[in-house]
Amino acid sequence: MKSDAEILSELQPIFDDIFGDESVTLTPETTSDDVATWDSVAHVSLIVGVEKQFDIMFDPDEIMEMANVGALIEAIQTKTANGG
Amino acid sequence: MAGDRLAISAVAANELPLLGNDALKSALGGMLTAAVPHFYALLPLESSLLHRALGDSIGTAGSEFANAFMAGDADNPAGIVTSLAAAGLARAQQASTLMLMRHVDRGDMAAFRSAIGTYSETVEPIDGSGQYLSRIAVAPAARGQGVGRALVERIVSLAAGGDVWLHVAFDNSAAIRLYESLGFEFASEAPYSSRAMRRAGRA
Repeated sequence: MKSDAEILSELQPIFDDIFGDESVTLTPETTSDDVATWDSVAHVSLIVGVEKQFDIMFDPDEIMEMANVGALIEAIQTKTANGG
Repeated sequence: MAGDRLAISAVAANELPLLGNDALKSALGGMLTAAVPHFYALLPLESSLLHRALGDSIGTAGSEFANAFMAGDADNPAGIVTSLAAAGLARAQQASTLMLMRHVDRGDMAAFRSAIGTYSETVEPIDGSGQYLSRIAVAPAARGQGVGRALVERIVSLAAGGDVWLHVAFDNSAAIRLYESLGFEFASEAPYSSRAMRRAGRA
């Protein structure tokens, strides 16, 4: 299983791609409040970017529940451990 | 054959007659895009792919098309209406965005996001209960025969005494007349391109 740090380093370019100049350096505590343009559509873009990067798929219900980047990392670890 | 056109049945992508019938799913998916053409035209998606993707969502729990009814029959679909619980609208729209965005090339993602963002500013927000009528479309050959009215009435009946909500383009006077004749009223006078209408249920 990939470590939190490994996943974070793969997430950073996905965030940078979506948020451009507004992107921030990610930590597990980063939330949507930390990026002004992190709205619901940006959130879905992010999820789709994560799905492609890690070859997994989320249920729509799951993506609403993620409180911060740490929760996203945990979800990625669970999904990749279960073979997607 | 007008009588057949007014026959209305519940449909879902994973049940007959849609199950395994890609042509019918695409035809109904095409009608769903025709219900809000100015929205789907903004999306960087090829139309046959879009029709198929929407067809696959018909009758899917949690989607904007959770409840779906077809007028006519599998050989001659005359129209479609879809609805979902109004309280779940934001979540269902996010699920639709997710489903569509999976088909978008990485290079088109920014354009997709900006199209949805721009469009959503033109749509009056809804915060209500009951059913939200998400899409309604009547096949060109079946217009003027009461199909649209019968489809709206099906959702009113599904709401079982609760409110029914919908959006209508501010300049679609034919649709507005139909909805008003069925008891819908504008939710506000706010000048959105896509205005909210509500049919109040029994108090």
